[in-house]
Amino acid sequence: MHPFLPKIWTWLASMSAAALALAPAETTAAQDDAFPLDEHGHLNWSDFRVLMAENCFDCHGGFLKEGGVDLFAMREESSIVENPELWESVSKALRIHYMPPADHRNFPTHRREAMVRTVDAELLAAAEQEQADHASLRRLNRNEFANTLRDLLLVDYAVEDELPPDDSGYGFDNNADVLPVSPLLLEKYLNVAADVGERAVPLPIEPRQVDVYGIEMAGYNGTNRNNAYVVYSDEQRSSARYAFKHVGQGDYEARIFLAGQQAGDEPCRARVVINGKSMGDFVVEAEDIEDPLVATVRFTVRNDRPAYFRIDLLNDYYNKDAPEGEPNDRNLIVGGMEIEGPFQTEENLYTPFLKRHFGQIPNEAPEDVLRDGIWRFASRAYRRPAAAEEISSLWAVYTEENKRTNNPRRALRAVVDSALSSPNFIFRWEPKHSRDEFALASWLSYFIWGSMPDDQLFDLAKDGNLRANLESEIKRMLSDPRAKALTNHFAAQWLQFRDLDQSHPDRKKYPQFSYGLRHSMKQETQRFFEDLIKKDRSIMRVLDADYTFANKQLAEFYGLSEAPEKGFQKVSLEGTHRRGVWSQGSVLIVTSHVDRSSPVLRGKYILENLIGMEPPPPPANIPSLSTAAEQPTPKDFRDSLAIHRDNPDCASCHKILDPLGLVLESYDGIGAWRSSDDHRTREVLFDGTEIELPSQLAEYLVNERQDEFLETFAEKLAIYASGRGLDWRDQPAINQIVTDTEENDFRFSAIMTAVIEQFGPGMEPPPAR
Amino acid sequence: MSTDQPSTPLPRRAFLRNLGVSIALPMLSSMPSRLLAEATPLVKPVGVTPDGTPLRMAFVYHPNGVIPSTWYPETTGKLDVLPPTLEPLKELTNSVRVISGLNHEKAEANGDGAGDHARANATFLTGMQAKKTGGQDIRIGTSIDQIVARELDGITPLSSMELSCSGQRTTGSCDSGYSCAYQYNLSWRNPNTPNPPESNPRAAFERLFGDSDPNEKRRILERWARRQSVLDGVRDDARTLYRQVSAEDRDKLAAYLDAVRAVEQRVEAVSATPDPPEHVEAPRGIPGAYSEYLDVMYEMMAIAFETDMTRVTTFMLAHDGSNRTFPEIDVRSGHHQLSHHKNEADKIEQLKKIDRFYVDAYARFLKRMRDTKDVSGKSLLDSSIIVYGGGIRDGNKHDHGDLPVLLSGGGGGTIQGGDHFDAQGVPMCNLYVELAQRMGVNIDSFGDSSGRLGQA
Repeated sequence: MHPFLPKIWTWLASMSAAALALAPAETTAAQDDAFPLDEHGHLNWSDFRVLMAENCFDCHGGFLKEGGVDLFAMREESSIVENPELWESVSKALRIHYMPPADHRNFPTHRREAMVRTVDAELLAAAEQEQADHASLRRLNRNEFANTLRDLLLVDYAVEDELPPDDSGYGFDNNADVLPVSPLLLEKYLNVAADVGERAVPLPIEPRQVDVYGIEMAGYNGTNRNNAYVVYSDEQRSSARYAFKHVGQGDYEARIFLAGQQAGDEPCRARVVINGKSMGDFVVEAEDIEDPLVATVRFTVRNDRPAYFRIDLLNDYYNKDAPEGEPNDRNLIVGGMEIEGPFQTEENLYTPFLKRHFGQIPNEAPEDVLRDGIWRFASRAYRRPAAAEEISSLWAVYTEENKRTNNPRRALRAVVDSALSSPNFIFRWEPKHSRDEFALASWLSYFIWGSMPDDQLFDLAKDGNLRANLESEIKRMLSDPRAKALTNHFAAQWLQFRDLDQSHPDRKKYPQFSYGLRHSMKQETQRFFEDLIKKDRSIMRVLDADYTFANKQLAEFYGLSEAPEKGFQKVSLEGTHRRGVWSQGSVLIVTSHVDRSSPVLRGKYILENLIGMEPPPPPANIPSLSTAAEQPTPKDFRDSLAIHRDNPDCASCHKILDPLGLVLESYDGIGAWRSSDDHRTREVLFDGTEIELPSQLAEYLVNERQDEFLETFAEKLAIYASGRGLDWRDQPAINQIVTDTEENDFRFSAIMTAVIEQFGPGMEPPPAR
Repeated sequence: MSTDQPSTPLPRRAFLRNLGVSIALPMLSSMPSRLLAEATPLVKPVGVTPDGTPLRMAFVYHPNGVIPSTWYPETTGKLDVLPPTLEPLKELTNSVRVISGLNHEKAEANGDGAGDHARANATFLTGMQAKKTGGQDIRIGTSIDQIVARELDGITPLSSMELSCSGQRTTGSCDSGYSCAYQYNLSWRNPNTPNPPESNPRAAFERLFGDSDPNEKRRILERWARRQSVLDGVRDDARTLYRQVSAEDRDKLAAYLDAVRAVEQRVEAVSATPDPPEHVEAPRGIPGAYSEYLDVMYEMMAIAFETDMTRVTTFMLAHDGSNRTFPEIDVRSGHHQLSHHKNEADKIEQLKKIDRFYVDAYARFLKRMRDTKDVSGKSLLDSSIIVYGGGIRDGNKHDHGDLPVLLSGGGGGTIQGGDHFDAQGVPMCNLYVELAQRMGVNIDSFGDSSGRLGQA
């Protein structure tokens, strides 16, 4: 007899006769008819209680309330809808095989699934009666603010780095509740807005001189010497580089101080390149940077982007066999430069912003032209038509400042500052039930572009035609270059490749690693995702693509049969075991420690980001596992991980985490394929599936975990789009997104459209099918 | 606000001084000290020493715990021999008091499960339990530096300054379900608004002294000159919006208006931005070597004190859980990863090196403070109260009791150093209550305090 049965019997005595009649069947657990299911595959509540009694009550049954969970207290079926958060976690614990603990009871999968279905159905029915509540005021985050300034003021000037980084909530840095406004943050936002605003409404600038030290001009492969930078080789990556952030458009003169560490039979030759254009070659005979050659170049800037300087060494020379005492290494020494300017004309002061809103230079514009221009500008800044009192307020700023400074341009700058300081600009306000299409236009464009709506979106919203043209608009927006924001902000956070810039694998352990390689890996994942969007591919390719994007370096690192000669190309992964995104170098590095791969982190990555089945975080104060010896063999490592799964405290989670991660042990801590078979063993996943190779994992994910993946993808997109965490009340919407996506061949545009239809402001949920 | 002179800042500062409100006094040493004494006569002076000269307060956060065996002195009382990790402080022993036995109970799980790093950071200056949330409704408590700073509003140009060398964020949720806001901020303006720290030394410098380029400086002063009228209008916008939004959204607008008010207060101060001390050059960006990065951030703290731009600063050396490597001292594994050392000797050795690396930088800062004369004729260090410490004792255990704490500076003659004091298991907040009182801020309790630590 089962050791726990007596307790169940005691409890069963309080139950109805109908349930009692079923109880004896418990001893033959394999018989499905012991717990009959209704036509939807759901259990009735009495049977459900019996299953709980068998599998849950030992630890969650009144006497013991592990984790504060008392399921015994859940007497009525209605307790599910009365405690939705608790039951949401019960459903998940069952679904991911976290509960009941593996050592505790053998729980047949079909019963586990029946319980999950039953709980989920109750929650779903409850959710359909409720509307998820959420705040709708969202501060523009760092990149949204920067992008919006660019698009609003028509000034191409990168300011993102000057804004403070945002904290993230629910995995994304656009979460409404963690985007507070502190005094420092507001001051920075206002300063950056004023910086850009002043470029949109420029005043004549007195030419001035900027000094740049050689050490500020470091390339990738050279060295600093005192305040100078030494260019070692004639490869471009070695060149001195400088991004000159100029104060305004106009003509400039740069005087560059050069000397040579001379060797061989000719003096150094240098080339000055600005924005990719050669500005002249110079023979550098000087040897002492205190007495340099001054290379003078004149250039014109017609936009607000930095001017990118590059100073190349054209004739590198190195002779390792040179006789003792004879100079054998020719290098270029860049001491620094002076840049003088801007020397401006009227044209430099008549910007696209002024043209667009005022059609003439402000000093000559009559009052009604100025007022109209301010209205047009404010209506774009607030992403809806500006109200009369808002315009009066801005006009008051204009007149006051015009009186104070006697300068229409200065007064306009104050107007721009004022609109950009307004909560109407700094916050997005897109109430869920707004029938107003301006809210939808704004929501859509921040979702897809990370920026404000363009003219077409505004026009459609004004005429009330946006909802009617939603599908074509979504497609148009996805094919726009601004849709890169989805890759660089949504995907980079979801798939975590944004963290790659902060990964510093140990070079001693991984001699193959270089920052160039790391950069190629980041580009690989970016290009992969951009291609997914642009070609509107099936999102299942995230799991199983048998292609990727690589340059020569990466293709060789991966051991691919084809290696592009120049730049990045789409390449086949045939002949390797790499598939999808999760075996790309970027992911394999961010899921590794600096000196070893981590099966636990890799397992967690797949569970959490791809199929939404991650176990809860570890209890406090559990030290992480480390390598057992200086040079652990793969076997040591697996043995030490096995401790996880033998110790009951660890096992409930690690039997879910570890096997998935161990499948990826075929790749080392920087994502290189390990040729030794020592790293490959047959792993049994938490649901009993046996897997040996990464390519088999791809098949498993696609065939067995498709719904989980779709749901996870939908959830991540919805969190990103709506700026809030989801809960059980959002489940009907998520289910609908999954259905719509499946019906539309899993295309990227399909899941986007479905998310927008479910979560966009003013979208009536389409009738359930 | 109207004069016919273009872009001339209003002489508001002189005007205010006549009203008895003290604001920025650039380069204090050039002013007779009685000016200050006169400037704050009406209420109990905050942030001043018994002589009436400025008193500063700073908090420095050390991440990931320490190796206790080389941090804590073996005996209490006078410090004859410093423990190995604290040896860099040798010359400064008399300005440093080692305090043990202070606890942050609210950083314990207390039913919230994993996330000790996030809690260590979040609780350090608040003494409160962080609400476990990935984003929605973040809540902790106003931090002690802000309790003091808000009393200094309008007395110094910046009521406080927040610095950090952890500028980059990782993606995802930060630590076991806690929002990153808890892990990257020490200073909390109110229970749900952190004061994000500045991590670029150049930006910190420009916030203190404006741009080092005189043309740029003029442009920025013009911007501040128009800012008053610029901000006049936005209150109406906020009010209109306020009427339409939900209660939660109203909190956000309230924080926004609070920030608008704080920026407005800066309008007057900025027009009087002092020049930086002559020996200081504007930093050019984030140095590659971490030791230099720490030094330049400490320098920003020192010059902010020296010029009396602020009297309250916080500095997060790195956030708790930081996995930084230290190639300068040949530590190539991540700090956090190492901190789970499981008593492996070589990891412990590396961690000792890291602790020592941080204390070295701290010692350099204290020396800089010691070697700079204040308006009082004494050193900056003598008129400062500096708390150096972390929210975790031992990185291997993630425990939040008996925290590593150094109290440095003379506190204007109110603090004696040179010893090891064992507080014997009282809340860390008891120390904060005591220090706030020394700063002239009358609070009886703070966070989870059970009294004040009289002997600090």
